Amino acid sequence: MNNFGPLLIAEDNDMDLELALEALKSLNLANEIAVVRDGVEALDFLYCRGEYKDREPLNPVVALLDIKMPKVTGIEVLETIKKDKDLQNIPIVMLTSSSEDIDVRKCYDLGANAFVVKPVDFDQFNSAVKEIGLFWGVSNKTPN
Amino acid sequence: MSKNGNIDNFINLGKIQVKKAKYILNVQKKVFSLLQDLSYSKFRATHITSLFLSVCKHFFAKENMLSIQIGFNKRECYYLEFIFFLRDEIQELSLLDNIEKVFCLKEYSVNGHQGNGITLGVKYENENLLKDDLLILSLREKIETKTHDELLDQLKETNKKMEISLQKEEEVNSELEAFSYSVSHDLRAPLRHMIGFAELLKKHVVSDDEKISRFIDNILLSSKRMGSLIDDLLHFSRTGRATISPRQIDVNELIPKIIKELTPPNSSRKIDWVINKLPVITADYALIGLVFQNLISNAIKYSGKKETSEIEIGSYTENNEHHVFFVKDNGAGFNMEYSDKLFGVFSRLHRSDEFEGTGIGLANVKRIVHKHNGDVWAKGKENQGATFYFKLPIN
Repeated sequence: MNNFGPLLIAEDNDMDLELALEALKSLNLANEIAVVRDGVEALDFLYCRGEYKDREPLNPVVALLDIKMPKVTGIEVLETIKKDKDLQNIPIVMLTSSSEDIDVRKCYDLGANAFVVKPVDFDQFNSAVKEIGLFWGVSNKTPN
Repeated sequence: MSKNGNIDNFINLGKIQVKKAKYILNVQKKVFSLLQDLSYSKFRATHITSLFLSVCKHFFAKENMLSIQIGFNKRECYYLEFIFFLRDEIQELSLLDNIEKVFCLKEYSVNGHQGNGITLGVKYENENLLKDDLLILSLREKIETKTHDELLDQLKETNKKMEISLQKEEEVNSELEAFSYSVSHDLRAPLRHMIGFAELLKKHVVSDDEKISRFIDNILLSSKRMGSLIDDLLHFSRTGRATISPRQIDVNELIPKIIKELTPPNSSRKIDWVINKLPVITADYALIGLVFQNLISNAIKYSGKKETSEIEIGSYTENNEHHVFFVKDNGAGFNMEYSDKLFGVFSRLHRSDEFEGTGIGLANVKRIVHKHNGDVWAKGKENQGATFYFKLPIN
């Protein structure tokens, strides 16, 4: 069963983004991959406003949020999403560079669906991104 | 006027050398500050100091050198005494006469002299209290109050210092927290990119030149090694900040768990284990587990080139004060000359192509054991195995 909403990725770092896109591309997902570069853009995308006011108003099948982003952080975006009844069903995967666990709890408390530490090892990174893409993009069924 | 002045009864409070008359002003200042230290009121201190100055001047008419000791008479401690040590023998009588003439006040008295010293006593404190015992009482009170106040001040001072150092420690800790957070985020990211793109490069570059793939592999190898160095360093900084939560640990139960973790079931390694009876200790479970895990994994690693590894784990008590634990192997050993380098951060006695590692494990062991008020050491001989010891206080 496929969900044709976009897969949203919020990542401020060029290189991480490129690596993640490389990994996702190889999956040949039918879903559009939407890229935003900070928390403000992520919220604009989700609320179809600003630059994204003309986009097809479909909730993403999954949102990958980097924790450390300029202006509005991934955690703040997560908080907003989980408080909004129109958005709260979007599965959220938090991405971070750090295995320091101070953020993990906070993210789960706020209702994140998964928390992924970007591994230093590329193969692990590759498979982590692929797993996320496959699971949330293909397998998971969210309520309409 | 009593004449029982005796140097044996003297509680010394300070000594002032006066070499020339022109230094009298300095002496006066010293006496004044001493009296203030003794909690004399300003008025009282000024009064005694000016009296003292008169005595000095009187002596300096004849002498140009003397030393003055200031203290209490042990037996008659309601006298604050000044002992003037004069350079030359002075006619006792004439001097006593002189002093009495000069200081014909009931408040002070010449208590006597010994050798060429003359003691001038100044009656302490309250003129209204005529009875000696009451005077003593008031003095004791005064001393005790002072001591009490002093103690209280000291305590306040110490508390303040402790508060400041605690605050500093907290600041340092939170700085470290921020530091390691930043290290783990910011250092790992570029590393991930180096590795990621090198991997992608490897997939995209098709070349017959085997140098190209070796160069890429070298980049990958070094980047991955840097990754494990960063991880180990973070780990080390975390143990440094960890607080100890002691609980009872039966080491007999702990060891098999660690060995199971460290030896994969399908491993081709042959290891002969000797595990002696071990005590129950009170320590931090996770941290002490880490100590054993480090020592045992080292024993496995460094005996890896032997056909059969022999690893012994045991303990003994030292003076009923310490449990000493040891992990002994028959591996590569080390030269005792460099034993001080074993426990340093990132310091190793073997190249990483001989035995892989980052050089943080034993530094961690040392840190954890020291946090438990214990100690670590090692004995070894090159190619003849090593024994690592650590001891923990029994209570």
